Amino acid sequence: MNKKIYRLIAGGLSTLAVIGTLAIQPAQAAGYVAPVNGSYVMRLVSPLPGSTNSVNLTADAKGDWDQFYGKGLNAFAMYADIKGDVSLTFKYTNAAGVAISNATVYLIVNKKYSCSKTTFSTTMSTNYPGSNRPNTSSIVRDWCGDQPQMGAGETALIGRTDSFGKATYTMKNWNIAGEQYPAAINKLNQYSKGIACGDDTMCLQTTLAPSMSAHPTESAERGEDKDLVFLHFVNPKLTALVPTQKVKAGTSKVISFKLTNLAGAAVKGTTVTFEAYGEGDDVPEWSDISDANGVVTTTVTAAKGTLGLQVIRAKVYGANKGTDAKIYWIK
Amino acid sequence: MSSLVVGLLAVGGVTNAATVNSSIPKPKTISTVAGNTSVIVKWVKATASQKYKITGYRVSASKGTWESVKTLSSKATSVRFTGLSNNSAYRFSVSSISGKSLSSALTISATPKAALIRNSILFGQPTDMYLGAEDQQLYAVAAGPDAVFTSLTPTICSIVGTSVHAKALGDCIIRALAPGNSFYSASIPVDRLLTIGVEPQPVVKTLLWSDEFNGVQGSAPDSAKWTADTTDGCGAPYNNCGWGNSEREYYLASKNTQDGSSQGNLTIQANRQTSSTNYSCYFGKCEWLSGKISTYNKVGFTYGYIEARIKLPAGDGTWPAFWMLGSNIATKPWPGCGELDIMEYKGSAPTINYGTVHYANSSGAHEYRGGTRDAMVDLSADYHRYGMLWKPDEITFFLDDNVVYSMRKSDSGLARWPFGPDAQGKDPSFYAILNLAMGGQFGGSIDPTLNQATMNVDWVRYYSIDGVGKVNAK
Repeated sequence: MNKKIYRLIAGGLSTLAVIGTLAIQPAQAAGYVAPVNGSYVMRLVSPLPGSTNSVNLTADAKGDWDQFYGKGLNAFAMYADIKGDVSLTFKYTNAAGVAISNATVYLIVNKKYSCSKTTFSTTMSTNYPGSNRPNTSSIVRDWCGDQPQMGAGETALIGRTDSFGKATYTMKNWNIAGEQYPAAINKLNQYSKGIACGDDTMCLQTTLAPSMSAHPTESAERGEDKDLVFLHFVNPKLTALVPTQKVKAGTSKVISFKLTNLAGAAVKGTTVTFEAYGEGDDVPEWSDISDANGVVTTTVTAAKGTLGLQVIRAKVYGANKGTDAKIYWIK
Repeated sequence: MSSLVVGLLAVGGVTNAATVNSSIPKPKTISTVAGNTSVIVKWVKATASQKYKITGYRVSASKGTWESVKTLSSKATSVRFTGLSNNSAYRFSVSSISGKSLSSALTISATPKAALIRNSILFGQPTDMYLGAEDQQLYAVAAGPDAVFTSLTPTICSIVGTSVHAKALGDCIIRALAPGNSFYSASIPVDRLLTIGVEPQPVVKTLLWSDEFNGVQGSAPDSAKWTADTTDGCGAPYNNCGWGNSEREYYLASKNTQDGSSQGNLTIQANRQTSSTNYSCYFGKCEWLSGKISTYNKVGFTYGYIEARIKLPAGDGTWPAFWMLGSNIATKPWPGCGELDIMEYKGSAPTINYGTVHYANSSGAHEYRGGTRDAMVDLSADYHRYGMLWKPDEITFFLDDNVVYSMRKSDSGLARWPFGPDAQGKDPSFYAILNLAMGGQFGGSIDPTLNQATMNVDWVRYYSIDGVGKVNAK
């Protein structure tokens, strides 16, 4: 998110004695300003966030950083394929629900202070803060903490609404490695921290916010009820084609893994590295690039007489976690 | 007590022919977990009595005349039968073994089956619809059984077969679900939102002014519309050496000509000069001669849409522009008069178009805001359209109908900006400019091998939009 997050005061509760009755009520941090309804409403309509494809973080936003936005703030975490194309459509209306048609609107990418480490290219027009005459279609990462570059990555994609009040934004991700493939796309995995990743190398997200302004002031943004999207980019799913098998020692065996994306389609051209643990020889091929079917292979061998378990671990290049195939060397 | 003899493998001390003794405690319960060509049989161990010690369990699987029997230790509580035929019912029995005798058996039936694959679905985004439009065919591809569509907003839209029918204004949400069968489990549902809206009135775009540059070859542009700026900016009436940007060109009226082609173009040509040139610039002998024309003191424009079709020059250091200045520049000097850069380009970045708004802030200091669009093609390779939609409170630049940059008055933080009505409610007037600058603060270093650069303008057209927009004399 693009604002300093004010935390609730320690303890989060204050006590108040009222005529012999102990009453407990929540208290907000000093300076908290309750949000009010915005003049504009902007919602993600494609992909349509729901219980099957997103994690609703709206409750996390309430009573805290919602103060920097309109009262109708929603927050969603969603997943996208690393190096994939992103297409998001937002609908812009006024508070009465009337579509804002044929208007210039924006999607703010790598929102300032969000520590978004994502990089993109886009064929859309862009607007950068600071220097307003860039000559690049590349969107660079935001920076974390107190580094002087913090906020430098914030970029506004410039869209134009149609007669239905909708604008579509497209960009392509260019990060090398993403998060571990999630267990489910409607649940946060342990590497997708929902909101900001900080400098966690196992977390890769961009904070996206629609707006009526390229780089809205705080007061302007308080007038906007919007869907904030925390888009997490994940590596392809790596699956061992044969997870466990017995192989006669003294022979060799080709071990195959398949890479698939969030849509279940094969992922071509991704580098996968291999590691071997346990019995048997080391893998001769350190890495492989997935073919048109999304398949990578390596060969395992073990000297005659070898007995026991060997684990072949495949990792998408740059990933922290891998997928194992188990070989039991037998006589 | 009843007893009978059953066939039994000679394992664990029990012979093929064992006696069934109903007094022997039998397993308490039996259950199965059916899998792909396999079934796991589970049971709860029998409680041994003082008389009958449980020494093992006999578990059998049978179908018709086929039978498989396993004899297990007294500690066992489950066993897996593999190699079974899917989708075929088997009977499973478990008996306790006590010495050479068996308890009565618990039996259960189970059918192994292949693990179901989750049906997957690709559901195409339906397009938004106008109320009264024809029903829209929905498209979804499922790995297994075909998708079924449901309207989650039945008051807004309904499903007719595999099409969506618009019933009322609003957002219509369609759910696609691919059901399961014996091989697939049902897919995760996919929801799509489309909006049912009112068909908008078409925008009325009225051509009010244009120059198609259809003059004869070598002729100057129409003097009723255009004036040529000349020199390097030094001296009256400009008094702005290097045109305020350390530019390297010296403008001559003769560098602006019509090409007499069937298309009809204005050609602004820049040529490198040698040391023998007769032209002196603020930095010494002029390096480049080029051209610049404007409608200043000829015609002005207020709001509406202006567009030019231009083929840009190639080469590092070229800096062509299609832009506007406030017609009141003589009485309200720049930046107070406002500047609208519809198209700026530099040959060193030949795919990028710049759109910029310049104005004076509340302190009178220069401020500017702008954006870029990467056309992903070399803009010097062909003609492209560069336009500006001007409303009193919003400026939007376009490249081939794609937004380059847009600025609202509210973005400026000004109560009044030079592009809208003034304090007296008077609307502004701006004049149009076409020029080819070389080098300077924006154009950058000029390619030393570049000797000529050409900017071709097919036309400049000005329209009112829905009746808003006017052409002003001067």
